[in-house]
Amino acid sequence: MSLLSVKNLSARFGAFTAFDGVDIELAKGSLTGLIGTNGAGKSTLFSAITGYITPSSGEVKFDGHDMLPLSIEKRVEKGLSRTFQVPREFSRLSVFQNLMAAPPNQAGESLAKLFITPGRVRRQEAELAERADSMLQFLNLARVADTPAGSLSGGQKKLLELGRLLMLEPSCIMLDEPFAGVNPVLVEELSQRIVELNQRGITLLIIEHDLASLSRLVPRLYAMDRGRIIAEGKPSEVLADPRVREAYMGGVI
Amino acid sequence: MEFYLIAISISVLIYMLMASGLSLQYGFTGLVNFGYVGFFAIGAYTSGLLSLQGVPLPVSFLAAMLLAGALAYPLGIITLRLGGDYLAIITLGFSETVRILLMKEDWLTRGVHGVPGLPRVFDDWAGVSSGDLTLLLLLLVVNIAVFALIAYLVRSPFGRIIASIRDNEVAVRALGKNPAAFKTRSLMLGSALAGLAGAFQAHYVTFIAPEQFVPLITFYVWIAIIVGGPNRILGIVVGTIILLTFLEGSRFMRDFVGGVSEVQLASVRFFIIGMALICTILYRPNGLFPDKFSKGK
Amino acid sequence: MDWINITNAAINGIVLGLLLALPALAVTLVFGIARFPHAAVGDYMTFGAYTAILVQSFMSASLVAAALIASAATAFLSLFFYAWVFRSLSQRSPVSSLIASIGVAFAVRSVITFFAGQSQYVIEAPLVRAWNFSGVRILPTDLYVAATAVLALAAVFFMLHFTAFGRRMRAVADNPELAAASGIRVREVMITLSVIVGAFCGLGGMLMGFKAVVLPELGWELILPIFASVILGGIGSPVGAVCGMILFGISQEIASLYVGASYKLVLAFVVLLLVLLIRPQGMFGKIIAVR
Repeated sequence: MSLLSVKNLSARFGAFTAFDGVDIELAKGSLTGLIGTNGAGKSTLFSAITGYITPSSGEVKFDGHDMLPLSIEKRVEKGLSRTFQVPREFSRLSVFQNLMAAPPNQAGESLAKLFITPGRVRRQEAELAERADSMLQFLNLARVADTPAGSLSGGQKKLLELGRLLMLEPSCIMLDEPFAGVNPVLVEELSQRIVELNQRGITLLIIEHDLASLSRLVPRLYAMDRGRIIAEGKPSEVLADPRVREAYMGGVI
Repeated sequence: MEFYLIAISISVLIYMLMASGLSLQYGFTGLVNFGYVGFFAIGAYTSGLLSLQGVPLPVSFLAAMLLAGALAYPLGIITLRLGGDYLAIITLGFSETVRILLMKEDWLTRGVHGVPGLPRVFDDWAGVSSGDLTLLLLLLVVNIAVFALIAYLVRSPFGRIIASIRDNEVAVRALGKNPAAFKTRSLMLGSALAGLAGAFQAHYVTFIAPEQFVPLITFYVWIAIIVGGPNRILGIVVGTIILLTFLEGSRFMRDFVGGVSEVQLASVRFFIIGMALICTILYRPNGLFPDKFSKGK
Repeated sequence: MDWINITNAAINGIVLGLLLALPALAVTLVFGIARFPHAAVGDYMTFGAYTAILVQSFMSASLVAAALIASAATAFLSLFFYAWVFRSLSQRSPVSSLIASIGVAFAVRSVITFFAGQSQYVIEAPLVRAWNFSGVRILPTDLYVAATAVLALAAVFFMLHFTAFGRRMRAVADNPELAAASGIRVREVMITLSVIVGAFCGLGGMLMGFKAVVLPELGWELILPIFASVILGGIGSPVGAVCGMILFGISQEIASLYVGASYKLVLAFVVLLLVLLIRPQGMFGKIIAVR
């Protein structure tokens, strides 16, 4: 059964077409990759699905809901979340506080409750702190819990951003180039975490440039070129597709 | 000399109250309010005019805070959902509009002549300036209470969200939270503090006029918060003291430098304010006392 | 209020709008490209007006020469502040540039008041009588002002639409991320932008002084109407800035027949509120993205 279904989605800005007629289906609990050269329109597609830009036509359904009329925040509430190509950590907050900021509906976010029920706020903080601590363990970030997030390495920032999303307990995560600029040891670690998350039932869609890491990780792949989906299927099939080889001509394949 | 010390301390504490409010907006939330003096003016006129109608001062002070905070609401609702820097423009427009209305709507505000004879906060009881001394103590208590409030807020989940918004608004939306709602609350709180400072100012000077509420005052407060460090209470205290030392000190400058006209002296002060804004932003963006997480940024 | 007064006010508004379209175009380009509302444009205008007066009184230059020198001097001023302040800040949040631009505005104005004081000046021009068409009056000087503004605007529009460099500039204004990805050299665009900002504000300030009197607050008091018009037209849209400014000029002049001239700033504020409330993307633009 399909969790995310994108049908005939297009985005044009004046004379410029970011992507055109894109169809994507993600089954519940699936792990899928999306490859494509620079400027193929992958990140823009992510932005359209998650509400950062408005597509010019098409349909995005998530868990049976029509997503296009919803704001970014409402789409996140429905369980659809994303990371960014360039990590967007809260640079002047500690790693621990970055995680604490994420969970929805915190009592202490309300000014009234801060003064009327400070006890409840404190209890909830203690519960969240436990969850944040175990998240730090899971992501192997416990050592840097109290450092400002802005001073982490690029790879650690990506882990942190993933952790922040996991604090929301989303049903679907879209990762934008999780391995870019990450050292090989961390790539391995990140891949393991992704597999574990998928085993827990979270649906994942991963944009990646690094074809080698991605094709080992995912059982199913979409390939995009100049704003269109040009191939889909098992990684071996997609990478063997002549159109994909042409798009990546002189590249890694 | 005592009178002078009391007077200057009261000015420092009134500015410090304003600096706390602006710091909540800019330092802790990242909101750019270029019309802060407008909320100060609303506070001063609200309390001043109400007190002349016989409303007791505690009530008129409360009204000053509430009205200043409430006026921030529509400005926040309209601009903060849009992101970008619309707030800076709209608040600048707000403060200039307030000043023009104060000048033109004479039926309410007596226009450019101003409103004299406002009641003082405390009467003198022993010596000539003992009323001011009591006011000084009250302002001290109010400032400490505000610092305590800010310290509690910024360590709370609310404070965490506004700090997250300051650092990366897009990421806050990616967490399913609506930044505009939090920003609007921070804007209202900070503006209410400006209203309170305005009420103190009105009943300390006992005279209010539109010329006291020019845009320059807004940027005096900006200097106070960015020179010290916009998100540190220590920064607010030191920044305000530096500002008032400069403003008071430059008054005496003419006694030492001959052949300078009043206009030229004002120009020099203005020049230093402008340069301080540029140089602080360029060379010391986190002020003299950056918090430990802002260092090296 | 009869139609003749309204027509006269409208004509005045069109001239004013065309004139202020020069700084408005500068503001919309900076807003679109460098992502901040440049608060110093008003005081750049003041600088242009005072430069014109200076060259007139010391070099007894002609009006045309004064206009050219005022534009050139203001362009240098703008380049200086780009090189010193805004270039280093371009890597940081636009808020930094915004605050610094207020500092630049104050610094420029304080230098003017230090040397020229607070008194009024006028730009010397031959006195001419208005042409009178049964009550509808047209001042020849207004025609010169309008013609100069139109010429300057036409030059920039030609550059923006018919040269490769201009198209790149519009691309950056339209979508900076896309432009950066396609490898447009931002430095060149920024330098050209600074020159346009300075030259247009200098010329605009001089024309404003020509139409009215020159005071230290001349430009500062215009920034709200200019910002309001830029947002009305749509941020980053040159056509929008010009149309927005003319529309604003006409409304301002007609409104001041009814409520008095001192409410100009209030009108700017009301326009701002209404546009942001009803159509924040303005007539021709998009909502500026969250940084």
